[in-house]
This record gives sequence, C-alpha cells and structure tokens, in this order.
Amino acid sequence: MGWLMDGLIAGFTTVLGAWNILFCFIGALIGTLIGVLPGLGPTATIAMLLPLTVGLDPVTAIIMIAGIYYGASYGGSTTAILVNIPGEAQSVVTCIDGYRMAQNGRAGVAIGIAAIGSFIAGTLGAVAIALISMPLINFAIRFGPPEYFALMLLGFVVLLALSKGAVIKSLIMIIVGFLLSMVGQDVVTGEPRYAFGVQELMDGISIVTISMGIFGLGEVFYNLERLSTRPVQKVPVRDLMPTREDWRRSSMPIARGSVVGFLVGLLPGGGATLASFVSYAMEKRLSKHPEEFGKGAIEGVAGPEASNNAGATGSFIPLLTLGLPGNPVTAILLGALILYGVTPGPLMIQSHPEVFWGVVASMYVGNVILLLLNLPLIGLWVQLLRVPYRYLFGPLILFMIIGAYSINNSLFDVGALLVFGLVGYGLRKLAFEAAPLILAFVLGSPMELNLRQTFMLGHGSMDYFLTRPIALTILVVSLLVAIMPAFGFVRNALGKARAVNEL
Amino acid sequence: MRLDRNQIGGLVFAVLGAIGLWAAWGLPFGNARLPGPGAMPIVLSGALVILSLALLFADHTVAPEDASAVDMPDKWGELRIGATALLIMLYIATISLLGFFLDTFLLTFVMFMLGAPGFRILWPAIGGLASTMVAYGLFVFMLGVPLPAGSIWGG
Repeated sequence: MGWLMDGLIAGFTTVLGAWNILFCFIGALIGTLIGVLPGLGPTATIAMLLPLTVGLDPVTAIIMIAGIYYGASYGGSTTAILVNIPGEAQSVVTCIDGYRMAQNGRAGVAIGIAAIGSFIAGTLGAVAIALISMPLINFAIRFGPPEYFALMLLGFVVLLALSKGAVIKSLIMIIVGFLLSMVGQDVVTGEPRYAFGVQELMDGISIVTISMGIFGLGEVFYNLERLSTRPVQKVPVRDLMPTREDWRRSSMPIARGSVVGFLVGLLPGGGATLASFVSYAMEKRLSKHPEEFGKGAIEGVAGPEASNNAGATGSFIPLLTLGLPGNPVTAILLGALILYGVTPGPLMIQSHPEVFWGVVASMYVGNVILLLLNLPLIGLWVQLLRVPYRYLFGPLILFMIIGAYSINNSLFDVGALLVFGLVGYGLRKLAFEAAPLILAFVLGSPMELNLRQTFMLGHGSMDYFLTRPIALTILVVSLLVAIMPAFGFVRNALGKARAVNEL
Repeated sequence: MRLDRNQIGGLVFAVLGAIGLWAAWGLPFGNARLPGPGAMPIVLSGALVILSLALLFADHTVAPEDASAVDMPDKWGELRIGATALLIMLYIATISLLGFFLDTFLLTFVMFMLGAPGFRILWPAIGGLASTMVAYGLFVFMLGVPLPAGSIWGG
C-alpha cells in the first residue's frame, strides 16, 4: 500500500501547486460557463476549450481539462434542475425528479444534493482509480501487439452491442473514423495516404479540429436551426443545504450510485450517461415509495448524479492504464495527451507518473473546487441560462475559429473546422451517432499498427494467436459478445441499455 | 422518390467509400506477412461501400423513428446555417487582407444580425464591436496568438 500513498501524495503535491490549482479553477469555471449553455455538453465543451490548453505543460493541461469536464457536467445538472433542459445526455435523468423538485420550491436542495452526491462519488472514484489501476498496469505491461489489437476489437464490439440506433449505422461511423485516421503518412512506411497532394494533410487530421468541428460547431449549427426562445421560469433558489430527512433518504442512493456508476464507467461505450440511467432504475426499484419517483423524489436526483460522476471517473481507468478510451470525452483526452507528448498506457505511470497521479488527484480537487464554485455562484449560472441562443452563437463560433487557428497559426485549420462542423450537423440530421466515429478516429492508427505488427510477428499466419493465450481469450470474449444478442433475453436487456445510451 | 434519412446516409457514405477505394487503389497492398499501406484503406473502403449500399437498400420498416424524414423545425433554420457557413468562408478568405480586428467585427456583426428577431443594425453593431474587442484583448494581448494584422493596414 506504500506506493499508493506515495503516489497519491505526489499527485496532490502536483495538483496543489498554486499554478495548477489556478488552471483547475479556471477550467471548472469556464467549463460550467459553457456547460450551462443549452445543447453544449461536456464533449462539446472540452472540444471547444481544448486549444486553450495547448502550450501548457501536460500535467497542467490535463488538470485544466479535468476541471472543464467536471464543470461542464455540473453545469448540465444545473440546467436540468432549473429549466428542465439537460445540458447533456448524462443529465437527462436529473430532469425527471430534479425539475419537479424545483417546481415544488426545492430547487436549491436539488442542486445542493446533486453537488454533494457528485462530490462523494468523485472522492470514492478517485480512491478506486488509484487502487484498481496498479494491478491492471502490472497485468497490461505484458501486452504486445496482438493483445492490444484484440482489446481494441473487444472495445468496438461492446460499443456496438451497447450503441443506440441501428448497428449498421454505428459500423459505418466506425469505418469512417478509421478511414479519417489514415489521412497522412502511413504508420509503418511513411507513405502518404488520402492526402490528395495537400501539404497540410500530410500530418493527418488534428484531433482538435475534428472534435471541435463535429461536437462543437456541429452542435452550434444544430441549435442555430431552432432559435425558438425557451421559457425560463423564475425558480427561487435558496436553502441549498439538504435537511436531515433529505440526508437520510439520499445517503444510500449516493453510495449505491457511486459503486454502480463506477463499474458501468469501466465499459467501452459506457460512461456517465448509462450510469445515471442504471442508478435511476435501481433506486426506483429499491425505493419503499416508488410512486414518488417522477414527482420530485430526492433519491432520483442524488443517485443518478452520484452515478454519472462515478461513471465519468471509472471511464478514466481504461484510458490511463491501457490507453484505450471508451467514450468521446476520454477519446478527446487521449488525443490531447498525445498532442502534449504523453502516451497513456501501462508505461505512462513509469515515464510520466506525475500525469497519472495528477489526474487522479485533480478529480478530487476538481470536485472540491466545484463545490466551492457552483453553490455560491448559482445566481450567476441562472442569469446565464436566460441569455437567448440567438445572441450566443456568434461569440461561440468566433471562439472556435480563433481556437482552431491558434493550434498551428493556420487558416487551413479554420477551414477544416468548418468542414467538420458541417459534417457534424449533417450526421446529427441524418441520425448517425458521432461518438463511434471519434473513437475509431483516435484508435485507428494504434489499431492498424498493432494489427500489422501482429501479421508480421506471425509471418502471416493466424495460428500466432494460439500462442498468445491472453489475446486469444480476449478474441473469444469479443466473439461471444458479438453473438450474444442473438439470444432473446440478452437482446431484451441490451435493448433497455441501448435506448438510453448516448453512444 | 423521397429519400429517408437512412437512404440519404447510405448514398453519401457509398460515394465516400468509392472515393476511398479509388484514392487507395495505387497504394501497395502488401501480403499477409507484410501488409502494405494500402491494405487497410482498401479493405475498409470496400466494407464501407457494402454496408452503405445495404443501408440504402435495406427494408426500413423495422425502425420507424430512425427512418423518419428529415425534420424541419424552423423554416429559416437551414438558410441561417448556410449563411453562417458562407460567412465563415468569407472570413477565412478575407482575414489576411482586412486583418483580424476588422474582419472579426464584420463577422460577428452579421452573425448578430442573423440571430436578431428582426432587422436590426445598432445592437448587432455594438455586440459585434464588443465581442471583437474582448477577443482581441484576450487572444492577441493576453495570450499572444499571432492573428493576421491585415495587409491593408500594412501588416
């Protein structure tokens, strides 16, 4: 256990440096600022704000991104409770009972319990991350190309099993993501592919422009199509602290939500959204008063809010230990880390221990900052909510243009931003989910490299997998996951999960 | 014939897959011992074409909510997006000439006009000027982003 304490202490020392605290604070502040704006969830917020972190040192940058992430998630819960508009998919459940609580005059308590539940879950999650990561890393250190290829394949199979909408459309998105990742020089031979003679494409497409375009500008375009003003009721926000009775009813949902959310977060394609729905369903089933759900039950806010925060934390584990993101947020984070010169994976804890422990500690610190930031500033967030979208989109677009430009000081990137913005809008209109695309885009190069290396190592024979028991096991599990939905009972259970999943 | 969302998507991605095949055709495919740079692009583009054609010609009666026609929430909606996209293109084309400050003012001014509930000039102009000044102060002064100064200003 010594390493754990040493690591955590080192992490906290890193994060608690004045400079890093400042950036965590700024991140949480801007994250909440953008997160309360309608239609812009954590993915869009991180994508839009990514250019701000370029040029910082990796630890500070990642701490700031973590701050943005928590800020944006929390901003989404606030809008869900106050105006019944989820800032993002993971707050959809919070709308159900949170908004009813607000209508009953208990908006303050709903916001308070959401913040406290998230804080407790985040704290437990940070400890769990530290505990689970080490054994996983020790295991993963033996992985070679076939194991990594098999793991990534498993990730996509699970993603397809959990994904919303038609499997064929998700598959198309995955392939398009892979093809986009191949733009630029070949990972093995350096030969240009899909560059069409354009110099700027030789280095490949930047994760920043693609994610900012699809998730940021695309969302803005989509919202621009419907400028109708939404009614913002005047909800008095006072008495943020829950009563003793509220505490009694919320403590178990928070504890259960934290555990379940964390486990769901570990799944590829899982994460905060699915975690919140699972928790809501569970609390409703366990409650002695299920009839109160949907009418302002505090359990329906406390459980899912704890759960989505724990889910977000859990989704960092595959990223930090294996370098494998399971949802768009961690995918963008992986791209960003590589941009800063840090490659997440089992070797990261040795080569860049400060990044690993810094992220773990920043989750905790980020939650504290949010607690101190959001509750007192609630009046400001409510004011922001009232700004109509018609006045917001201009400054948002300008911000993204400058962000895209600043990466390479090049107008080419601004053009790329526009192209991917239109792509994101088009995908949204045609009901294609962009999440599988971004995951495939980020994992495309490593997956291709590992596959080609596997072929080379095995001299072109698939028998090679038989000599690699770990890879073989993962491949068999992938196959099982792929054929399981053929059974009715599995399909029914999956159907419920898929209906609510954001991916 | 009116295409539904899946059919439009199928058509678009089939074409993209064909372009992907065409552009990767000249790359060395390699063999099983040593796959070349062309192997994955060709295989994936081929798969994209097949899946997209399957989506295009599939029986769409199974998922009615998925196959619904493109939604049209606001009659000006698509026009507004087209206008904004065009504005961004113009912005990119003219920024080296006009410089960041003037070009950004024009961009935000027109975007505020597009968003205004009716025809307005004064408030969009004030909003545009304010956004430009904030952006200039933040990105040029504080963060030192080397945004184009504009050749008409001798920059």
